[in-house]
Amino acid sequence: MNPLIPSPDPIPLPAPAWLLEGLLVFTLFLHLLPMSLLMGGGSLTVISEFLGRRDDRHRRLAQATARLLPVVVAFTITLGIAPLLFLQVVFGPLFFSSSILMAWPWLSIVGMMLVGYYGYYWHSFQFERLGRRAVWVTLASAALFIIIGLLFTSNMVLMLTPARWGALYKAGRSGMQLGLAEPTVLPRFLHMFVASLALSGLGIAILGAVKARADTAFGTWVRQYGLRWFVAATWLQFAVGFWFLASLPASIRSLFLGGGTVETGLLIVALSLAVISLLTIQRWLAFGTTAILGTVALMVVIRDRLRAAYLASEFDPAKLAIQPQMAIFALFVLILLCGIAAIAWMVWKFALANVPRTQQ
Amino acid sequence: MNYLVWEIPQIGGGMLIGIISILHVFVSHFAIGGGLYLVLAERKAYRENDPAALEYVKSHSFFFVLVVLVFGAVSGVGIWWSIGLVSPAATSTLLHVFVWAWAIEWVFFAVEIVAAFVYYYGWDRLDRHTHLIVGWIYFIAAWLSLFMINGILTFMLTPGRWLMTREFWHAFWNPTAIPSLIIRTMACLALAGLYGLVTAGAIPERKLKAKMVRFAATWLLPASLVLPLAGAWYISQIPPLAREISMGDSPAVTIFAGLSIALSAVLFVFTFFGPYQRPQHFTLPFAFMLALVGLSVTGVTEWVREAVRKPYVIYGYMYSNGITRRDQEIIEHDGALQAAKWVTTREVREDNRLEVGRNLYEIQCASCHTINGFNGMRFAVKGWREEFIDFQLQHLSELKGFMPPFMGTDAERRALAAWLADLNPKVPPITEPLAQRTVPPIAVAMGGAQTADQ
Ligand code: HEC
Repeated sequence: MNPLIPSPDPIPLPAPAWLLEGLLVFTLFLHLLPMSLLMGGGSLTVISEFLGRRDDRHRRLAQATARLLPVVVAFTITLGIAPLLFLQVVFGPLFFSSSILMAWPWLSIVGMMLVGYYGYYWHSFQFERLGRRAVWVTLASAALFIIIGLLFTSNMVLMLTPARWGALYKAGRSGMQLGLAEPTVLPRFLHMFVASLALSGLGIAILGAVKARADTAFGTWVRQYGLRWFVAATWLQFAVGFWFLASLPASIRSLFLGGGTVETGLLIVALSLAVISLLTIQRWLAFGTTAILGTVALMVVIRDRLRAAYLASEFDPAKLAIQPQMAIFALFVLILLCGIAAIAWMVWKFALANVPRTQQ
Repeated sequence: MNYLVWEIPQIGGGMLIGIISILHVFVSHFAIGGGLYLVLAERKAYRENDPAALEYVKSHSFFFVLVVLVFGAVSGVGIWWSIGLVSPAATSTLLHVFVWAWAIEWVFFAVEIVAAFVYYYGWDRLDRHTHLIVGWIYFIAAWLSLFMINGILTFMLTPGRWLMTREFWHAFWNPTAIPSLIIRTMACLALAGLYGLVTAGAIPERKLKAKMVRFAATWLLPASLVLPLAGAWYISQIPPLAREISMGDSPAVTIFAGLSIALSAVLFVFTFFGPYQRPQHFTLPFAFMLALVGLSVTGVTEWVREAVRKPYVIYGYMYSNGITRRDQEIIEHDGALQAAKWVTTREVREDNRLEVGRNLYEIQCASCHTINGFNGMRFAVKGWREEFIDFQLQHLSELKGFMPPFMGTDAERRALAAWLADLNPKVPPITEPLAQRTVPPIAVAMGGAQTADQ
């Protein structure tokens, strides 16, 4: 074991590690959906805004997606808190160490988030007033969120590779490392980014399907346009994904190429679902969407297995001491159910009243 | 000592967290009280059938969304980010003791965010009744998230029976939890009033302005009555050392504690005789001035709350530098360099004393001190000879009640003394900047370092 890895917290885990890791995986899946719409949606909005200078359909589309972006940011942040919480509880010794090595860039995420978020608000509320300049606001915000994504990838890789820590620590103790000079960081980030383009394309297609109820021609066009992005990005993903796989250390890579039954099996099913989605989505939007969400969910599990493979000799959550607090866990589940009910009720009321009162 | 230390030049980690948290506290308490302000103001407008007042509430809610949903949420994330970087060991403790409390808090936060959106975007879509209910859901969820956080925050100063039992509920319902909850709730109402004064002060129409200004000013009154009592209760529950620090033992903390009371009094008196009594004469600059005083009160109060916790980050369990009482025993047994993970050397020799001293400073002192900036080491030991420094290091916890003792072997302590003495030139007149001089090259192969922790 690497001598730099901090000892586990002397206070035992308040639940078995599998439960905390399970919650980590599940809430990360929830987070990745709005996160993808944020990363990809920002970029696609920029593109539509530029095209919208010539093509009115693109202008309308950009306006619609730009209005949604602030809400998407809020969901990304809110749903991001839970996985980060469980990550810190289980993998704290790794996560805190890597974060401190890149402390300044890591902290700067908060500032970038604030500016990017306000940018989207500004854009959403002042769309008409900003006119042609609006696109620059989106571009700036989108760029900030992409940088945030890159820093996240970098930290997530750095926490899995303690062997790199000593050299980075020696190179400077003021938390200025970026950790980008590692062969898997770029493909891993691009893997995420291309996935977010695909999912955002899908999001736009769904938006189009909804719009088609009021305006068939525009809605149908939006749906087709979104699907083009989805299909193109997903095909591209096969290349990027294999690049990422190829960049992994050989011993880990082989697990996913036949070496490990579970790892390989998961990967095969995930890829098959993606192919199924590609083949069916033009016709059956809902079915294709479900299939690709299955791929995303499995990819989150695969990601967890990848982490375990990286840490095999360094850190095993199953070995951490536990002292379950089941009563309070039960309370959490109860409150979670109430919370979901409250949210569902509000969203239902809101969706039901889909005609503004002033326009009745 | 378990984690590596992030050195922040000049300001230090404590100040960094302080800046982010003061801004967050100012906004997040408003986020809670402001929710109640919105629903009650909305209801008032319906009851009095006053469309102009309703327009005001709508525009206030826009302001509310921009401040609360964006700045409030992101700065809250910012606190979390910064405490993990500056005090990873303490953050880890709070996460282990309170995982499910954090998780519950997250649920409330999520409900709060959705409710805020539905409320804001629902002005023209929802019927009045539903819209008000959504407002109430927002406020209740927001207050419940304060309720959860409050238990965790107060635990740090008064862990109470948890120290013996390690029971979750003992940690959560600790001795200061309830008085602090009352104080914070009052602060929420007062801040809602202050922000309300800013938006109401900007209303152009005179009659409506007077009405809403008075309405907003009323929100500060409960706090002015309840805070002195709740404050006294709170102070009666904090550890004796913390009380002494804020009441004379540390001049800086005492001044700030006094300022917190004095500024609160100023705020309430000015609000009472200003906007409350004569709302028609209220002006926007005056509103901003009051808001500024409110921010100052928040700032000094939070600062004092943090300061009185010294030398601990979690009282009686973990020192500010992340060293627990249990670690302390290990250090006494093996020495600090052996017990630590992230050091560049593990032995004291004649030729590496400055390097050792630098490492020890980082592990044990950097959580509260910087080298050249805020609470700078260089100024603390200025004019002290090495032997005198060494003597003081043996009595660090007596020198100032709010410092942990130095922990380590005699040789380690002397090395730290040597490093501290080296911060200032031996011959008085200072002519060259000292910043770079003192840091020895980091030249130890980290991989070869041995561990002594297990
Ligand atoms: C819990 C926070 C904390 C830690 C940890 C800490 N100090 Fe201090 N120290 C303080 C504060 C606060 C002061 C007072 C500053 C003031 O009064 O202006 C202080 C003052 C000092 C002084 C000046 C005393 C005087 O009489 O003027 C010295 C010397 C000093 N510290 C050395 C150290 C050394 C060496 C370490 C590490 C072994 C250390 N401190 C760790 C908080 C801390």
